[in-house]
Amino acid sequence: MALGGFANRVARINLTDRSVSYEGINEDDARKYIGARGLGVKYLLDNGPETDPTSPDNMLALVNGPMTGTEVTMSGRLAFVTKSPLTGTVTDSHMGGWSAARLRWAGFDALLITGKADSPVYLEVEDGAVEIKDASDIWGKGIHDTVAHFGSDSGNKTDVSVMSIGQAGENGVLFASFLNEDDRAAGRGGTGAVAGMKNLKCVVVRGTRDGRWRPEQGEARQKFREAQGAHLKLIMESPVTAPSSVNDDGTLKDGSGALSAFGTNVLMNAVNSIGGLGTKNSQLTQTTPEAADAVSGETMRNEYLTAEPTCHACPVACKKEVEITEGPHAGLKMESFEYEPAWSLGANCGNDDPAVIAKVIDQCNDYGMDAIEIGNVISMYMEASERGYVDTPLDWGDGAGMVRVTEEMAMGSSSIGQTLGQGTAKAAAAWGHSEISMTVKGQAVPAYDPRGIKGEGLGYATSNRGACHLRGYTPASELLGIPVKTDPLDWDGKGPLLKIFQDLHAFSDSLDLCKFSAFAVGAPEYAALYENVVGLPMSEEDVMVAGERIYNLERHFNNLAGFDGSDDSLPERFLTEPASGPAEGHICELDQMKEQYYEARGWDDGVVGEAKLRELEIIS
Amino acid sequence: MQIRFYATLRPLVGGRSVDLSDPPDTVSGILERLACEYEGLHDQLFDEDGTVRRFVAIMVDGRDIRHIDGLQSRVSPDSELDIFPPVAGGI
Ligand code: SF4
Repeated sequence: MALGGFANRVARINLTDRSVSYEGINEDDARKYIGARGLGVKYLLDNGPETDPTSPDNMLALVNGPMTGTEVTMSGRLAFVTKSPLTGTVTDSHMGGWSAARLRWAGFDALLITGKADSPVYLEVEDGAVEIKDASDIWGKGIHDTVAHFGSDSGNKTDVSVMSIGQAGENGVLFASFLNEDDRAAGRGGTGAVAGMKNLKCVVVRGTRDGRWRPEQGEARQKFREAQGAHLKLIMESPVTAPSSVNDDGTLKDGSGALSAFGTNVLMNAVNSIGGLGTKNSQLTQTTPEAADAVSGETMRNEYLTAEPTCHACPVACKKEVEITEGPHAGLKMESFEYEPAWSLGANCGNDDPAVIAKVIDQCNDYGMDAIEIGNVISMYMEASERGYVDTPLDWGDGAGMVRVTEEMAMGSSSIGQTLGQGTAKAAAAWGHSEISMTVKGQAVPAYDPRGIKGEGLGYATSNRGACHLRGYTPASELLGIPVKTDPLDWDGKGPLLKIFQDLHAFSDSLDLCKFSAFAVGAPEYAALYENVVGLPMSEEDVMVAGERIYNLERHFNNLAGFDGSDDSLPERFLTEPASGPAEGHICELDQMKEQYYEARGWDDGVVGEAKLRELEIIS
Repeated sequence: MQIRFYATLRPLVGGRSVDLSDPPDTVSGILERLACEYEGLHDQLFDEDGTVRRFVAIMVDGRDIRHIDGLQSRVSPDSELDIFPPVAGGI
């Protein structure tokens, strides 16, 4: 194969007849769809967009990008792509850590899994081969025990990585996730539920750095080093991503980037200060400064931090490990006290106890559940309780109740747990009160209220995988000013702005580089890296066209699965109930933004027409 | 007037917030006063040419001064000020 970076090896695994076959990468698809997310969606499209996501025919694709596992900074990510049982759309969810790199070092670009085993199985991947093995002694275990069973760890001290589901995936929770090592999740869209329906417990990968792709000696290696050096330099010097370090007295050294020093949760106070933090199931858009600060990245660093792990090839180390030292959860050590779950289980549930948040995130990481969805489904349940819609109420901020109901969802051990385990939208509909479900296309909203940060409202509505902040991260512009500062309370212009973010992220998710690279680098650096790894010409404009092609491919999949513009919606609350705090009086002007957005996309009411498909070479 | 600080700015002012008595009536005036009192703060907030550093966010009652009148934005004694270094994250 002429393309650099790729292993040119894909395994097709049919769990029904327990067969494994191998093939190369389709070069034309790799050129057009880059890798990881883009290539994964193409595999799903070829598998059939009408496929029932709960049937054995659904495909679960684990797909690397051409940079995965190389020396390129932030290249340790893997895309899980499937048709989501939660949303009915195509979905891709990415995990960091070390598994992605190890899968590439073990000789694979992708594992394409279909069928359903007649008893629990796991996959063992090593040296370019996949074996299907009996998982009966690990079925029923949590993720932490499964990882320990195979002797993996949450770092790079062994040569084995485990990507596993927990009891939630086994028990049919529709927002069940996959995690690798102990704490790095492909959280969204129910990829773990699809695995559970296939009787697939985990994927165990063995591989060492010796298997990584490197450019040929000589000029090629020199040019690769230059491109990687320029990329790394920008990351090292960005005021956001610059690696943090501490003085002898424990204080942060000058020049420490805030993301590196405090993790993603450094956003908590910032979003709350502008009135963009959904509170009590988004009935309000701001909590008190004290409540926000109690669970913020600053407080977690100063009072709970024990370690600062990282992912493959990343000097930023935004992961923060914390330990709870007092109260009922004393002794709990966990990672991924991220901004999103700190919000969903914090302000959104009327809770300002970091120990409860840490406990429920750790439950999610062990049972294998999406921590954004879980905070939303609990907050929806709390609002239903307040309004008298349920017989077994749960009060705002009831930490013990949150821990209990999380376990009941994962284990399906109570009637309320079974209802909530179907996700926020289905649970609210079961009670006849869909108006309190903060969801889009069946997936719960993330931590930016669309009345206080309007571009994100459009982003949630038009995301191809249901409500999502990562498809097009307009807060980079609306909060920070990347690439330019726009007013979070002004809707005008957000359509074209969102399109740029969506297309750029579709490209970087297909490389697959960590999204946080976008705080420091952009299309020129992505293009230079691509050229010097894959070996094909790539300009800044080509990056944006490829990103647009991938975004349209996903939309085309969804159109064929029955979605159109009427599904690009928001919960009524964001459209009609005015915000509180600094955004007081504001609603989200979705219709106006959608009009500008569809025009920029060239779509007819949310549908990609034939001319656009031809223009982007999706069809010929 | 209470001014709240975040992330890497907190060590420079020795805590989460600062109380300013008899505050000036513009953001510019307030920042000048603060820069005199807290060593190192000026360099964190301003470039060499005196403009606010890119990505630094200064909020008056929850509105970024880039969407009001910049450093000339008016402040009243009961206004709330929040000052952030470049912060981003979000997964
Ligand atoms: S920035 Fe954080 S999430 Fe991204 S690769 Fe680095 S450590 Fe992992």
